Amino acid sequence: MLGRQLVKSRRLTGTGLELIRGACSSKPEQANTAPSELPKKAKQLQHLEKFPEIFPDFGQSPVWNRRVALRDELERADMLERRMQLDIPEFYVGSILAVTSADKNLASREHRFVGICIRREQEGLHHRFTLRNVVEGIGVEIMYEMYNPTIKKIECLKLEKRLDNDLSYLIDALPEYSTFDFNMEGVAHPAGTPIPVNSLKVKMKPAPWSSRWEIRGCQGIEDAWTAQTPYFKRKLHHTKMNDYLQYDLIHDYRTGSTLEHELKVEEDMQKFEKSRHEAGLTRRRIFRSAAVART
Amino acid sequence: MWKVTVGAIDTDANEYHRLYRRLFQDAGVPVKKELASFLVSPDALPALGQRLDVRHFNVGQYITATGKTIDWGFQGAMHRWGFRGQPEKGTTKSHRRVGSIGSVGDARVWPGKRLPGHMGYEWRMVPGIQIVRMNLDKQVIYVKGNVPGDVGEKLLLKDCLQAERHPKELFVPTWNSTIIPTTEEGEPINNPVFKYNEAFIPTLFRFDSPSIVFTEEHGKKGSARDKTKAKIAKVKK
Repeated sequence: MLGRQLVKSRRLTGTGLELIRGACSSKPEQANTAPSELPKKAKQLQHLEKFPEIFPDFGQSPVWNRRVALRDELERADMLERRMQLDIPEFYVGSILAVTSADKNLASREHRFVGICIRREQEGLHHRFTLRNVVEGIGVEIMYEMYNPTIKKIECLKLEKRLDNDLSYLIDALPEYSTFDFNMEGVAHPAGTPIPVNSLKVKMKPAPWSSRWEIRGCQGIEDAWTAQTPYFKRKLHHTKMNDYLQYDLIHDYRTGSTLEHELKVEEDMQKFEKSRHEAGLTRRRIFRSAAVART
Repeated sequence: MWKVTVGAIDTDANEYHRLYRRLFQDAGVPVKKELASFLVSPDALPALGQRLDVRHFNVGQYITATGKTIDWGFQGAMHRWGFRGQPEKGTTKSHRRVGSIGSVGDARVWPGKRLPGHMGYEWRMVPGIQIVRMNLDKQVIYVKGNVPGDVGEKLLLKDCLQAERHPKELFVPTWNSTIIPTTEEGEPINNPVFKYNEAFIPTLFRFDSPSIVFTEEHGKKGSARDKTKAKIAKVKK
């Protein structure tokens, strides 16, 4: 599966490296020349091109040692059952969500929080997302575990993406960029249209910040390098960033998603959906994408 | 007490010598990769060659898990023993070092002095772990808490010996293999689409049930007395 990832997202300019499917440089006569069955299976399952982005919780752990087939299968079974009980909408980092969770200490026995999703972490049942909002002048970040049974409702008020996959820098940005009205009405996303990318560049509060945003490669900050204090600028530009990471194929293979795994998960999802719909309890659909119009 | 040896994971017999293979010949089972021994009371002895199942334990009972801990390799004193190290500022070339290893008066280093070295891969026992769920089709036990060892390492499970958590009524023999029951048409119980034979403790949340919702009775009751009712003295007899 290295070839697929390589061809898709990497350009080794100047080396002329080409990965031919089935090639084996040491023993060419023993190479498997049969064509891969995955493209055919992908078409049959109506494979979603951006599956790892839509369902990051169904991905495999980036730590190679923690990829256990049996454990992943059992967790996936639990996740699909939960998704049949609770409608978990599609959302990305940068989307505005409203989460209603059960809280036994409040008078109404429930707690509703509206905020922008700033990060999504972990794979499997432990998948969590963090919502940020500014309440009465104080920045509040609440981390929700997606498969926590006390969550009653998740609504996506505004479906959009941002320039970054991690908006943790909003903690050092001006509060207006993190303030969202609790009573805001949802903006429906027309099915079949691509997910809008909000290319907003936030203005930061005066430096120094809680983290070195200027070297973390955050696209959504307006001119972070200039805004940083001279003390930090004395350090080298690439103190923490490693330029070689974009060429690291082994790292990509070990941490990334493969087409084989994605198709397996999609197949499981569709089989599960079908069996539960036939049982007649609910018609909720799990395998769907906002960017793809389904008939 | 009898010593019962349990084997796991079938392997190729040709990779092992005659003496090792003989162990399994007497039991009539394929050659196993891993072996472990347990002390068992005479009334609970399994038969020689009997296949053990997850149902040997009961959901809700407490067990003791024993195994080799995670292998951390060669580690410094700060990680291995929790030493505090030295300050970042004002210290020359010494931030994660051991520091002093003794005093002038002793004129030696005490045996057993905590220093950097190999950490982990040690035999440890964690008692009092509760089994909360079991998957009977996949033979998987879900426990509440942590067990020693890395992913893929073997683990020995036995009944908890602590008095408070020792299983009270143990049905002996705990479980016997029988013919797998099938439905009337002859199809196996294993439904391929994520419907497993599972056992849960009553308090554990099941994912096929709706979200947890709290009602009035879940709310916290204030410690102050209810001022709407009259304060009546309780007369002691």
